[in-house]
Amino acid sequence: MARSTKERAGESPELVAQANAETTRTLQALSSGQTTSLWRDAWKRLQRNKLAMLGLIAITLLILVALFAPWLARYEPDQQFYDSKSSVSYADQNYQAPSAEHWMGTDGQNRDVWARLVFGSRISLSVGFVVQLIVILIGLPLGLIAGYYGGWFDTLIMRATDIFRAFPYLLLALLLLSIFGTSIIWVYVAIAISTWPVMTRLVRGQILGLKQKEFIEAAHATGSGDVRVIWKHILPNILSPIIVAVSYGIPEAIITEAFLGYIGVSGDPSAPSWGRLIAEGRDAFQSHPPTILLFPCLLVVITVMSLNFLGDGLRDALDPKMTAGKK
Amino acid sequence: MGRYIINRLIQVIPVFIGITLITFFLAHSIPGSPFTSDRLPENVRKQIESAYGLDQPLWQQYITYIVNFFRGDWGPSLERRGSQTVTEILFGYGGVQSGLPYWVQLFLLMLGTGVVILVITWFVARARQVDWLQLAQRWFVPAAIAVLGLFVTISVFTADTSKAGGFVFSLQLGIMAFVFMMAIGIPLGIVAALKQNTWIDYTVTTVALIAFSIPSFVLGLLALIVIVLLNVWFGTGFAIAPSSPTAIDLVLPALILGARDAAIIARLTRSSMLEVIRQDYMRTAQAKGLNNRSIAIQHGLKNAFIPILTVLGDRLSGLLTGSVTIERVFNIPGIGFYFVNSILVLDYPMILGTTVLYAMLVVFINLLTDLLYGYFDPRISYTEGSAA
Repeated sequence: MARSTKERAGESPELVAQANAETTRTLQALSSGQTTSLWRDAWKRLQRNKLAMLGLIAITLLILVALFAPWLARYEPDQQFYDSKSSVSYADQNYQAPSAEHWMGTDGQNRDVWARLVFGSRISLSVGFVVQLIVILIGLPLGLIAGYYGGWFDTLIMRATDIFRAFPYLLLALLLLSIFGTSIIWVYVAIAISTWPVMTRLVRGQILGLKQKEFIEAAHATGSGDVRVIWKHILPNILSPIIVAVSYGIPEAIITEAFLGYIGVSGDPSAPSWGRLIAEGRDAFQSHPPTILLFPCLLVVITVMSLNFLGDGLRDALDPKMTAGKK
Repeated sequence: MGRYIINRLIQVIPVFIGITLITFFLAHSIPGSPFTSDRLPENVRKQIESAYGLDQPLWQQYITYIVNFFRGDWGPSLERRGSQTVTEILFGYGGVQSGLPYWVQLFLLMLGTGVVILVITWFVARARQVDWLQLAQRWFVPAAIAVLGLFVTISVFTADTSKAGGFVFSLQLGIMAFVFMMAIGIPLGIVAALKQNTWIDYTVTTVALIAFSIPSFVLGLLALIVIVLLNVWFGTGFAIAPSSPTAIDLVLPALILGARDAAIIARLTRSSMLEVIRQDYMRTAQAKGLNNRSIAIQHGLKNAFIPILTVLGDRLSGLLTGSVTIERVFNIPGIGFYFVNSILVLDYPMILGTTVLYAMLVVFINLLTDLLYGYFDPRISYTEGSAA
């Protein structure tokens, strides 16, 4: 290419200089920034996706809310607002409708619902991220070894995932929580243990496909060891599907935690988990302001929706083939 | 193909052992006793426990359970203090009372269906003078699955609900949700793909994305709020949780249960159709002068269906098992309801019974899905090594 530009530009020295500069830039970009430009392209595609950016902004806000909960909540999550001087009995002071004082009303023990929801975001969001972290820590190495080396280990792992696939995952989580108690650490572990096989199967499948490719063969032929092949050639190539799977896994984990909270087995009973708030609302919404049920439900929906917007955006951005037809 | 089915059935054995083992030992490691709620003196409680064999070593209890399981005796429900057995609660008192265990009845039913379809295939093959085996391989599986599905549906919806067990409610709910999911998801996905990048496409994809983001139990609760508000504002008398639900009562829960899956199927159908539409054979069909609709349905959908099928099997078992959440919200006495309840009250035989029932359903549906691939993609063969 460089030669042809020289020939074409032979008449004018300025054009030669320009062409040379261009070639140098291209070569520099190719030699230094190739791996980053792939991710930069994806980031550019993501930025063009309005829904995904909306999701990203909403999630960032939610994370900020969780981080700065004490400053945003206005009250403590377990603070009770009984007025001893009032003529209204304590029981009738419960379940206040939303007001300027209590933005989302109060609950059955006269606690501020807004404060509980704000502090609850710490539980829900942490479940989403920590569960996926554990899933990666378990699922990725197992899938890597099973897919890359095959053999008896592969068979063993596949039989194990068969069993987990047939096991209703919600019920496994429920069993584990009944045994080990419902502290938040066990909630992370129980949900992760019930969902890791999905990651393992994904990683294994990707590697089985990659192993046949010529560049892996070439890497082996040039004397690269297994660790180097996995680290340098396989991992970067399966990163996109893993990111997409994780971005869909986070909302799933949040939904699961919310349901576990709803049936009363997530976190300790006084913890303001969104699921528990929904369950409390379910018991009360028929005879009290239905906002007690509506707000926690909406918050779960908004969180899951923003994460899914972002997940869809990531999928489209990281897999340009999917959007090739969009013009 | 017979060999393939047998291989797959053999693979069920380790799954069965694994699931029963895990469930049994996990369930028995939950602290507490199923009889603590009775506030009995220690020695009386011990006596009751030994009457149920709970004082024996765990491995012995496990063996006893498995042996009895295959005799069709899934044990007494500890929560009902043995007044009802697990099979009575799950399967009810109705149905064929031939004295045979349920799984034998089910097996005979499937075998009978298979034989009938094979005979029909044989006659068709003779009349058309084509190779019988080829015809059977191509048509036997889908026909058998269709007949089986139809049979299960009819028997489930004609069952006497006053005598029916939890499984009937779960099946009613699951089947209705499945039909809703297919009837909404697939057509919307096709339309969105064919009208790509028009307002129709954007509406479908956005609505699907929103529906996909609402967990079904939250959607159920939002529906309850609407019902209660309607009752308060307009004086309508909708019941929130009927004690013994009829099929009509289950329609709303089924729609809610199927909504998220309909969105999943619509999204998948759309992307799968988009992939297929760009293939060369679609252009060939267009060049032949076929009209767009017949191309889309005959050439497009059948090929686009292969990835959908993978998810359909998952979703069907998800609907039959995922009803745990909806059954909880609407207080429907299905198997999901009994499962959650049995863990909370430590009803060991019930925990095992529901888990095994779920797991076997999932395994069975996965097998049917894998067999259906051959119908949609004739390149798939079920011989040794290629499809395992």
